[in-house]
Amino acid sequence: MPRIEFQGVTKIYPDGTRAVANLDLVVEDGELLCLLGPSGCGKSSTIRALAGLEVVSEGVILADNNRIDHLPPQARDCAMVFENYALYPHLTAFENIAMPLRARRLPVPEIKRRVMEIARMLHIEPLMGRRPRQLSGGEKQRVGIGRALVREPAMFLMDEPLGHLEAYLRIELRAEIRRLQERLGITTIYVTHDQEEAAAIADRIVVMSGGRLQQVGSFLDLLDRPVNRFVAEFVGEPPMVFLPVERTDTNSISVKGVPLQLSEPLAAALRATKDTNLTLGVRPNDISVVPPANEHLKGVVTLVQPQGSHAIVAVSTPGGPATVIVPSDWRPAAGANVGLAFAGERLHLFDSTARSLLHNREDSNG
Amino acid sequence: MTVALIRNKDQHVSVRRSASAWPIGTVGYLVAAIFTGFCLFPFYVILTTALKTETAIFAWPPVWVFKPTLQSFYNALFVFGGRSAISYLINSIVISAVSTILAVVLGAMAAYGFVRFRFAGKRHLAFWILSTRFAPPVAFIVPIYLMVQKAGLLDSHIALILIYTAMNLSLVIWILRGFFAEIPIEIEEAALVDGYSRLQIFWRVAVPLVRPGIVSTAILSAIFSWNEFLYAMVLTQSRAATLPVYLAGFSNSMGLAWGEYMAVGAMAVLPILVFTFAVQKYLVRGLTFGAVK
Amino acid sequence: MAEVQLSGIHKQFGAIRALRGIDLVIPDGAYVCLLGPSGSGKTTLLRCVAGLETVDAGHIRIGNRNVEALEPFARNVGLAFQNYALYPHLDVRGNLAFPLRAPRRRAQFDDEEIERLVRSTAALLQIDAMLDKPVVTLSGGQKQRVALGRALIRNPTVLLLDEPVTHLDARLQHEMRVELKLLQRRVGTTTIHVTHDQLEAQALGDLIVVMRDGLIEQVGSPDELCARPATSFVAGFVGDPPMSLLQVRLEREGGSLSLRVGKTRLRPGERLARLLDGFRDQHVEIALPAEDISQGHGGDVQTVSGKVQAHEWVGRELQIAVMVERTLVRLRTQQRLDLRIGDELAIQLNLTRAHVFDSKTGRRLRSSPN
Repeated sequence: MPRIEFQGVTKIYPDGTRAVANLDLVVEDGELLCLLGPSGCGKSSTIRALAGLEVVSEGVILADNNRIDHLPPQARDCAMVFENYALYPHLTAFENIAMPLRARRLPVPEIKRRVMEIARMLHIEPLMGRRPRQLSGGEKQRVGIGRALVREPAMFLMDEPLGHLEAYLRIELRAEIRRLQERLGITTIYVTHDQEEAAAIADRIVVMSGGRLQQVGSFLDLLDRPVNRFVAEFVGEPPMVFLPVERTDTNSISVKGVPLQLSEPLAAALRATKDTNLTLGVRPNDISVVPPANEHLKGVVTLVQPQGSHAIVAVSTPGGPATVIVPSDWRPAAGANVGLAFAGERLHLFDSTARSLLHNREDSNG
Repeated sequence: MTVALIRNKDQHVSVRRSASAWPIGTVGYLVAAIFTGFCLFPFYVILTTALKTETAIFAWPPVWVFKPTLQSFYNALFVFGGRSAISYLINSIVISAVSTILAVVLGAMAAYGFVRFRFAGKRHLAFWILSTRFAPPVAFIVPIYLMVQKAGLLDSHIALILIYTAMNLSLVIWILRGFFAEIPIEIEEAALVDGYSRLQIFWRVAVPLVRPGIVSTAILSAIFSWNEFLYAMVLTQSRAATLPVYLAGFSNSMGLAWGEYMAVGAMAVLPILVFTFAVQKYLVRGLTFGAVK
Repeated sequence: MAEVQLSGIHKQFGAIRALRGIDLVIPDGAYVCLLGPSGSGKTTLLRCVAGLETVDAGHIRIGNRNVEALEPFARNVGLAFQNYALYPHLDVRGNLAFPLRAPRRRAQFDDEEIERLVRSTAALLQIDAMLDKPVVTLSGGQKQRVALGRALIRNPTVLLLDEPVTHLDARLQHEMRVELKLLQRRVGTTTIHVTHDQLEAQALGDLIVVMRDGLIEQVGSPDELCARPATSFVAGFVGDPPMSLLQVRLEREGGSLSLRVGKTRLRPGERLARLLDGFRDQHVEIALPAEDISQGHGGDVQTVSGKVQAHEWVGRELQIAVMVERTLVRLRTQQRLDLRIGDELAIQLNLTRAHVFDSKTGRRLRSSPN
């Protein structure tokens, strides 16, 4: 269960695309780390470089302080699960899972024992005799996971494994994956573009964009202390609301003429910069809908979406569209004039380079 | 020496060779060139002989550089009294074109029917259609001759057209069945909701989407009809005879007119070549990819 | 714009009974969501309304016409497919115009009119900049807009959406929900939207029709479904997280009633006791909303315990699933707990707002006769 380290890893494809740029990252022994980002951000390239399916252009990859980036995939003791299952269609589920063990020429009774044990853990024992085309998507993916884990690998890599499954299956399977990982304690790296999925299962999340690491931390770290606008917008659903602000003097800002109350740390960070092109960021949970008044930003409700215990309210303001989460016992009606109050301690300010004024630490391992 | 697998973004797996790999490349190219030359040589001979003057044809050692002339073509097409090639060429073109069009249109409709409709005995019918290709054509020559004769259609274009259409039909149906089956049915359901009748959907949605299949079956049918010899020989005399028949009877008591013979040979090959080159760009795979999901 | 009435709809595919008697009224101009797991019949019902499937029995009225015997063309419905089903050999303009060019409609639209409608529909869906692009080059979200445009361009009486956002990225799904609702409000067409995602149904539906195994479980507004679920299935399906369903055995000793959940005994409280007074059966299901379940030991609320099965962050709350006596209980907490799967956790249950369901029929027990 190694500690994995990427040092200055860069991957440039033959056509010149820089898929991963200068990645420094530590994956702790036994943790479940998510690589999160939109398509093209480099997360798949990173995991494939770790597996050995891609050759690193620059930098090194270490496992427990031993270099592994020059080793072929077979020598790295990695197991990988893919989005499209990649099962052998002509073999039964049992045979699919047994494949890696047969390749190592283990004795037949031992193979059977280990395959059935994995099957039990994944609740797929009754399916062992079937072929992939007789299995549902969720069942196929479990077989794929079983095939990866039966080798008892040191590292477990998953590249968007639940992408093709229905929503409720995704929720079910991701809980199982987390359960498995906690039980087996294997260092696991999980690639996804779905921040909800990452939030659900990861110990820590690595947000990537354009081949670069944006921020590393637990889900709450990313939620409450994003270092830049990309992370702030990508993590959290509904996404953070951004409103342009005017800087009235060194100490204060306002949104369309409505002055904002800043917490002391934020005010101090504001004083520390001369930038006048600033953007306010605030999460829908941190905005409240109040009766319209001059000290609050005014807006008109465009849409109310009930979500059980709360509702998502879309409000159109002079500064732009805003989303607010309101508790379900009181909901405004569509078309109503409302005021928006912001929770001062939960505000974020982003400068003209899209960096957070308050949370702009440069260290990559949060 | 390590050979690493590099997978670039286009889903190719390229293998990086180490420096000391021996020059398989050059030898391979040489062998391929020799083989290609061997295959193309007969065509080269036909074309050059057709373009040479009579003296150049019989020159020994063979003349490689010569002044081309179209005399042989002219002679073959128009001069040979009573047996000039032009009428045979026209017969070939007409019979091949009509039988190809018929085979493709009827075959497409039949293939679509197999894919989209349920009816009694569908599987048996499909197998029967395939089975018409099991036996060699020469096995049926006598009954077909008698049928054509009794119908009074000996030496007529209609007879050959009908027979070629029937022979091509099974292949067209089998190939187009696969193509039609690949069209996601939702696209046709969308057209139903949009207000199109089944037949309109067939022509305006399904057929455009199987263009590669239409083109490939058209090429195969055209080639078959164009080159068919046995039935043409047996069922035609002078009015409906095709080029292969003409070529077979070319030599007579006066000996073989080599230049004209090669000219007719060139004329027998070129139309199909031109047709194939003209339509090959429609042989594009995957027309329906990406429209669904 | 018209009301849609379904009465006595039955549909069978060979041995599978997909629809087993559907009666439903969809008000004019409403946005109605058909919600259910796969196999519930929701897509089959939509296709029956569209005319892509014939019904074995029953009537479908759109407006004041019985349409169950009519082909799709004659019903004037618009359908947006789950996989978009765009015409791959055409560009965006071609796809949008295709319905208007149907030969049977030739008389209705001339070329100028068609171009005008294409442009206005494209503007409505914000795809006017890509009219000349071949549809195979578009992204998922863009294709879905084209599919919507094609469905809307003929100004249909009813708009049918078959899981329109299911195949989009998570973030795009949330964005498209807002757009769909605003679009429908603008256009005013009666809309039927099929989904398996109950949060989506709650966000968009004026009315939600919960279906299971070919039958309707409940029809109601999102609030009604959450506050007064008619069956235990609805209670366990709707909500984020859904209600927890406890299998309870009633034990009466002397005059007092207690609820047995596995090895634990709970006190019903006044309201539940009244509800269960006179109930003859021994088994019921009790549904508890997640808000009434909390972590920790408490004063006079009931406490049970179980092993943690899953823990996830949803926004700033921790959502925990705990196996209590063979029931999966889901709760949310704002506390930052350091949990591992398999940990024992004490759970407090507040039964004041619990819903009680008859174990045999699944129907909710109501209070006084009314």
